[in-house]
Amino acid sequence: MGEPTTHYSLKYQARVLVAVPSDTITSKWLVGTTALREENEVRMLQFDADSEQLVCKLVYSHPAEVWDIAPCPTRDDVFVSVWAKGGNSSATLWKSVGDGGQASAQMQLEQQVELAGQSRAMRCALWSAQQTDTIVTLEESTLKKWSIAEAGAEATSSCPAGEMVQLWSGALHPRNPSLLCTAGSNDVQTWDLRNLGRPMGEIKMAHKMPVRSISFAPHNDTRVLTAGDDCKLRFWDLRNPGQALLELGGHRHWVWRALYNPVHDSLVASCSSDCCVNLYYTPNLATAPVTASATEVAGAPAAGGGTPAGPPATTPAATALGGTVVGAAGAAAVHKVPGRSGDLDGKVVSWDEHEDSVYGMGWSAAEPWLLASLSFDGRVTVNRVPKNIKYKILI
Amino acid sequence: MESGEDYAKRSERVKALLSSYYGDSGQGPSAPPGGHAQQGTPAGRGPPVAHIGGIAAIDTPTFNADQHTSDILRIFSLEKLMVEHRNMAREIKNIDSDMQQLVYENYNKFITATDTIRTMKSSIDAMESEMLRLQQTASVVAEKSLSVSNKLQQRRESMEQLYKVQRLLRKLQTVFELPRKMRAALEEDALDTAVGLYAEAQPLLHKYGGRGTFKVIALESDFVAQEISQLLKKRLTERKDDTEQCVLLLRKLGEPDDTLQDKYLTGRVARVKRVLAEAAIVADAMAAAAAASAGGQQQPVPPPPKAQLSAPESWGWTGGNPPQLRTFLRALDEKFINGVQETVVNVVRFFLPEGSDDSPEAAAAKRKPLVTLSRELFGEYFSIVRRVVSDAAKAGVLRGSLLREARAQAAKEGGSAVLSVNSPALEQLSSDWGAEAIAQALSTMSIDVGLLAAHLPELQLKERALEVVQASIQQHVTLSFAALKQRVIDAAVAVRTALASEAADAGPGSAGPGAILQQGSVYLAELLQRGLAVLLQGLRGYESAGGARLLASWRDQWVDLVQGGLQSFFGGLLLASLELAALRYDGGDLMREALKASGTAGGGLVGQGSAGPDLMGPPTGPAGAAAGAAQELVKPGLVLLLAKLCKFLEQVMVPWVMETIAASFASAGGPGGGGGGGGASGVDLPPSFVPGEVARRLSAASSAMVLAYVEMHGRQLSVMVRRSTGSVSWLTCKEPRGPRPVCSLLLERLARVEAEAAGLLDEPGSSMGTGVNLGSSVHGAGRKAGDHRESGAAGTSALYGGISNPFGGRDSSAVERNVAKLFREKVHMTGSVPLASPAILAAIASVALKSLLESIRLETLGRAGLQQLQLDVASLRPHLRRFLLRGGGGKGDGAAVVEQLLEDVVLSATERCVEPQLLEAAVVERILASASSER
Repeated sequence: MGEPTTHYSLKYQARVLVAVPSDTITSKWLVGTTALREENEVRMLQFDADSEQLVCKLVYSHPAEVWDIAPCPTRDDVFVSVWAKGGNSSATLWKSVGDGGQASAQMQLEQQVELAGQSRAMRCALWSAQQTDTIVTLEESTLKKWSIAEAGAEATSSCPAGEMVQLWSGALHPRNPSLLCTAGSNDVQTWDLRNLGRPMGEIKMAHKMPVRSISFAPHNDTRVLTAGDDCKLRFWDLRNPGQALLELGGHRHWVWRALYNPVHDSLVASCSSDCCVNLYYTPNLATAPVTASATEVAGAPAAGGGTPAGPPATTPAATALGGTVVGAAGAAAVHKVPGRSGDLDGKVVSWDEHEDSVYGMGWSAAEPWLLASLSFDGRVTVNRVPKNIKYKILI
Repeated sequence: MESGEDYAKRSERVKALLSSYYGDSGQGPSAPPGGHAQQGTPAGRGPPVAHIGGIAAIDTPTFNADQHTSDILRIFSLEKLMVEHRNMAREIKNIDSDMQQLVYENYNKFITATDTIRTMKSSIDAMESEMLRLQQTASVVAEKSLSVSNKLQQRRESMEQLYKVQRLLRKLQTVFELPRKMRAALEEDALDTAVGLYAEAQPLLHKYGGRGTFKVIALESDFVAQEISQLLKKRLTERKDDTEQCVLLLRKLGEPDDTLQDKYLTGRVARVKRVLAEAAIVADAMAAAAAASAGGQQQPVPPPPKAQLSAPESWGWTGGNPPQLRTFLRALDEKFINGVQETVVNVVRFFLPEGSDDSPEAAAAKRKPLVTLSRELFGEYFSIVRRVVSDAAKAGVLRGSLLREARAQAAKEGGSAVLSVNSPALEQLSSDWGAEAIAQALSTMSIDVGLLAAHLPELQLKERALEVVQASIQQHVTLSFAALKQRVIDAAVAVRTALASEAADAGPGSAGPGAILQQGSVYLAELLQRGLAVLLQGLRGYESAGGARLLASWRDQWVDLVQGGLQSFFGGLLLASLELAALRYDGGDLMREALKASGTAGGGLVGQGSAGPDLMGPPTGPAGAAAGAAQELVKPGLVLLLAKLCKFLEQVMVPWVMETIAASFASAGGPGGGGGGGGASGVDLPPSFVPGEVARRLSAASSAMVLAYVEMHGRQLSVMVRRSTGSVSWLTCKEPRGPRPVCSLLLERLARVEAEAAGLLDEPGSSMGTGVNLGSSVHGAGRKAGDHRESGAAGTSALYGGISNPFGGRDSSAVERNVAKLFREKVHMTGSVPLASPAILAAIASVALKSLLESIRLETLGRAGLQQLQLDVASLRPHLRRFLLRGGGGKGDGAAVVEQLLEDVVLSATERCVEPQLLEAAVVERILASASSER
């Protein structure tokens, strides 16, 4: 879209890219490679806004394949990696060692503790932003809650995911420390972390094929975004699991990750194995009245994370005018009525610079208009939200 | 004789001479050049020139005889001189005789003239006496005639007087008889005669009423008149039905009562209202008859009994059948318009005399009751006309579209039988959509109403009539398009129902669905083409059947109307197709385009299309079922069919409609096609039918549906592939002994898809064959495809050899991988898929292979696992290749993508393999061969 894009190439194939949430000044991402027969590594990339370049700040050697990374919400030298070796997978909490003043980017990782699962199929780790001593690990059939202390980690509780459910990923609520959503098979489950046992709720058949990704809206407490192998993105209100608020298409193959922008409810990005990264703009959905949670959200607007640039544009106050509560049956009809800006909810950009399936994607924690994506061939690309969309949101 | 001839000859000669003389003198100017030359070269130059000049100049006025003679003498030889002399002598003699002749002739004429003059002189002397006698005779005749006329004059005068007297007497007699006659009429109850007589005699009595006998007569007649007036007044209070008559008579008698007008009006209005009430009954009957004749399922209203009408024949209601629209309107107009006209004329004549000295306000106030009542009456009249015409429009549309017949057939036979191209509901589509009848009726109406417009300018009758006409025609046009749209939608729904029942009956795998789809596609195309053609032709009926005048004042709006109808027709079909395909707005570009501006197009939705309730009452039969079935899973085949339908609309129907519009519905402003801004409604408004936009939207919808089709099949295959991948433990599995069963399953599915797509999209005929061929070739596990396989396997090993061999060097393998990637083209899965079976097939295959690739990337493979995959790919490759090359002929883009993906699968497997060692090509082939022979 005319915006310059920035590339960085890793040596090996890679699947994981996550934003480093602790740094709100510079845009940083952690990427991990997934080469089976090579010495893998985790790199910390930083986006230099002046030169529009991605710079590798740190390189950690991480011999096992990296399948997921959960960075610590408060420190940038601590993270959990989900790794696989020889068909087994597990998770480990790492801390980087070595004098920080050294110019060399090569750093050593010190294993703090292994967060071993019950099975050998660890899928994903989540680090709570609210309770920074809590980590949740998802295995194929189990979820486990860990409590981190200086001395080590302790599994505080665990429970089975349920019959016929194969967990793939999950998301912790950005403000509610006890709410967890997991993507298991074709469904989405919600859990109460204080009392793991049975799912609190469920979205049955959230997608026609397995669900791959879940993301919470930054301001709307009950809204989640899911993406799955049926090439669709779906928006849900957790209080109404029967019907999706909106379904968005535009991918030709499985969608591996779909993420809400950390600041703006109306901006959503997704990446897929059709080699595309799509950006969606949903002004109508974002401003649709949220009756129950409106006051709640308005009461705690600062909870959205220390984002200085976050305008309160998405506070869904007094939007009866928008009037677009969506029923699935009437979705088409409703979306014919454009919001105040006259825009339909939908795809605005499709970036197709990648040449292989795109598995990793992360919004910058510092700059809400930056989006990094990682394709399997090891190429990291940073894209900017197009200016016209940016102005639409800001003005 | 001879002398005459001689004379003629001679005179000829004289003439010739004269002419030659004059001619020569005419040529005179030509001489001077010679003379000039002579003068210019006086002596030195050759005498011949001078000589010739001299000879030629003999007839000129400047001829000098002496000079000539001396010249001749000087120049000519003697012999020549002699000749010259002889010539000259002869000429002179000739001239002499000519002169003599001329003189003689002149003399002759002179003598004749003298003779004549002498004769005249003698005869004139006798003339004078004769003239005198004539004069005398004439004066005698004049005298006699005068006396006769004088004598007659007296008689004539007396006759005239007598005649006048007679006339006067006759009048007087009438006057004298007046009281008696009035009395007699009164006794015989012929009041109007009596009043008429009185009114006639009134001026006379006024004039002479004061004198002598007249006084008596006047008194007497006034007395009788008073008597009559008493009687009338009494009657006025007693008998209601005669009021107006009485009022009129009273008015003639000179009653000054102001309330009379109101009374009169109420009477007339009551009468006219009766007419309208009867008309309403007849209209009911017509509607009922129309419903009955169209074979409606429900008998809505029993036709009102004919007996309610006093004279059904006068409405054209003969026999058992209610009248035709036109007859009815004529009868209605005759009764109603005439009634109103009479009323108005009478009121104006009796109550609102022209020469009254009322102020304009007072006159207007006097007119007010009349105007009010007529407004009321016309309101009812127009509503009846509207109703009748709209009934007729509905009936006409039903007749034209055969919607009811089609539905009845569908309800009766069900299933795919409806979709036969030979079904009567398709073949009998006619261009009679009722337009002509409506045009005739409306034009009758507007003409008749126009007659009254001058009498009642306050009512703006012409404008209201025009409104009625416009509203009726608009309704008709809208209904027509809606009905046709509904038929198309019904047909599509029928396909869906047929598909569903087929699946329920026969289970998957039967050849049924393909046949149904094909049939449905042919049927839909045929229906659209014929239906739209007959519909437009039918609407043209408005222009042919006397409608030209009807449309004259708003032709542009009319064109707009038709074009708008077309626009919403296409828009509605588009929406309905999307709805049938269960496609919703998904934020993508295609759907955004397809749904653009659909807010204005209005929604004729499946099952409850706008035409449904309007035309047919509540939707029944298949339509109702359709509404229920909307939630059912949509069959991919149907989506493909609809994609084709949209494509067809875009590529065939829209251009055709453009041409038709340009030919017959072009607005005056410019051709409606090019967007030249048609429509009288304003230059700034876009034309109602925007072919570009319609085509764009249809195209987008078609593409979106193709993608949806690909996605549906791709999803099925994805699930299959994933499941099969998940069930294998790749790290620890044993040496492969043949391709996994999922491969043949995959091919089988693809073959079925191909049969479906090819049957629908390719030329009919070849499709079934290909489908069968494919199936057999899959099951027979192509021994014949040996060459293909060889090349395929060789290619694979050649490409991946580089990776499998240098097992040790880490970086080198990565570098090689990257280098290899550089030379590959990117696998494109984006963009739209053309509506052609090879491309669709390629897209579906790519989805399946990509899914395989993704599932493999999630696994960690052992050596055997890799080899297993290598085998799978090797067994798939030739078949897929054959799939994709068939029909297309060349390697399309899609085929390239598939090839690429096949390679990528093995490449990814190699990357995910702990011990990447591929099989030798020969080994692969041997295993495949033995596996296929086992089966």
